[in-house]
Amino acid sequence: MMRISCVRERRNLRRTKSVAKLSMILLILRVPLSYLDPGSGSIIIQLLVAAVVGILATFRFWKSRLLSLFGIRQETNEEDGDDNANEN
Amino acid sequence: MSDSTRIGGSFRDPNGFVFVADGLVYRQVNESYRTNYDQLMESGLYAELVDRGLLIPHSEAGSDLSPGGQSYKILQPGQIPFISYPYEWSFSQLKDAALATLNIQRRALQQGMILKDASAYNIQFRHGKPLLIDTLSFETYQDGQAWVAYRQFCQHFLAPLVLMSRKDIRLSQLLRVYIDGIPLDLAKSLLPNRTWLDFGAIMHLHLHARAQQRYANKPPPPQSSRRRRLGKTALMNICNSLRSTVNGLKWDPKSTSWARYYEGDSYHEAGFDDKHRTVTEYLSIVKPDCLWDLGSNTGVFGRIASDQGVFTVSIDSDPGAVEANYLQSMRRNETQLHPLLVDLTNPSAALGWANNERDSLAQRCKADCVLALALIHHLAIGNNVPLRNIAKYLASLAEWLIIEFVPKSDAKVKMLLASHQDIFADYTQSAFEDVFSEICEIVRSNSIQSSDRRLYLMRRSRAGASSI
Repeated sequence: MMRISCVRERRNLRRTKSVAKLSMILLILRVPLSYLDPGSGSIIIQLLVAAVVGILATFRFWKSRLLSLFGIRQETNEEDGDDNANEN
Repeated sequence: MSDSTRIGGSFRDPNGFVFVADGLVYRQVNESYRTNYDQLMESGLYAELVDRGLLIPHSEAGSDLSPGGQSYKILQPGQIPFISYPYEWSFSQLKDAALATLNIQRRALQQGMILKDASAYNIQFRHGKPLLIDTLSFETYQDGQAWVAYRQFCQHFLAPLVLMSRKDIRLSQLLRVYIDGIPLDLAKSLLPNRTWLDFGAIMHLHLHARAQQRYANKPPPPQSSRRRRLGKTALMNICNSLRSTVNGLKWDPKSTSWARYYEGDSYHEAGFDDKHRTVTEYLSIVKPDCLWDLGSNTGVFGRIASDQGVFTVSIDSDPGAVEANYLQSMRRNETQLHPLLVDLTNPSAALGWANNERDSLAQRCKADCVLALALIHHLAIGNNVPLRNIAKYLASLAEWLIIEFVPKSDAKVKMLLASHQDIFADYTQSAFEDVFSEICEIVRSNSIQSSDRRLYLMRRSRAGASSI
């Protein structure tokens, strides 16, 4: 019986901690007043995407710098390219 | 003040709405949007987007047109000849619309603004290209803010595109049921396991769906916060990631039967040329402003009209044929042809709140001529629709009809009847003529060389119009 209540308490504590973590993340983000519901999960995932893509971009940057030191040039994707049918 | 009617689907955004006055579409900008509107116009963003064909141009009209409310400006946007919906687009149409949205978002961020919504219904095809028609979609970018419309973009564009590309092209029709885009948990459950190898699908769909479920019903973050986690660069990175994900999606339509219809043995060359000549002649008699080509396949005959500057809506139910049609229209830089994916046996219905947000196909018809070549047998034999019902429906769409009758002796009808008991005793040329004569005058009729098929040019009679 004691064991079960211990497990429950631990589970509750974990839940409280994760809610607290989420509140912290949401508190430090700005979301303007909008008629659309941005969705808390969608905001959290934006942080994750931004972080991962940022790390990849940094990695690509340093990789190309390193390669250029050895005189190797890489083909780069033009980030500001016209990707739209309108502009073909 | 003239008579103004607010458009049914324009009620969600409190910053303004769309209305019709004297047959023209206008957009009211409310006082609450003043700062954002002024920034859009003065920052150079409006000029840049209009110049690149990404945003509908507008002129400012008199405020006396306002049907009410706190009007700051009344805009008269460039008119769209035909409003279409994402569930009526082929794969590449939806893909180009998604890329246009991301392109706009990127340029908006560069000018200190951001898209506050990313609805696929805000994109329309004008002069053959996708562009944003909602001038009120922009707001001032606040440093550190998240992209409010990210979820909407994933539901309206990314989820259907990935499902169409990686699972089944027909899943675009889920957009008919889910008017605010495909729920991500549903998309996730339908996607094959191999999409776990695709970075974009993992982040924007699989993990996004999980995050939505995990953090459902949690409060939104407060506006008053000071610290930042998402800078402009981060939002630009999200935008670039979405763009490369969308760009990486492909769909090859060659597997569908209709996309290669004319390459098969349906027509002898002489018959094809003769039909082409007759349709051209009929069109020169009608001189339509707007043509609906029903069962258009890849749009071969509709192009006779669109190449002459007639706005043509080219409708077919086969995703491969519509895709091939759209890709060809892009290659040829066509401005007067709008390919559309619609099954005429179940055309788009009026949808949304009070069945008034999205119009049915018939509600949007402004055609003065309908072209229905090699279609009647599919409706009458393939779908058991009586000839009289077909005649009434077609004559309800337009005053002029150009129809091809395909008799039972034709190879295509024989194919339809091969696995079907012939219960169509009334499907004869004379019955066809009798039924259509009840509501139309047969102006011209010509047989097609090297076939038993026959072309008709008909005009809806006054008596017929009142009986529809």
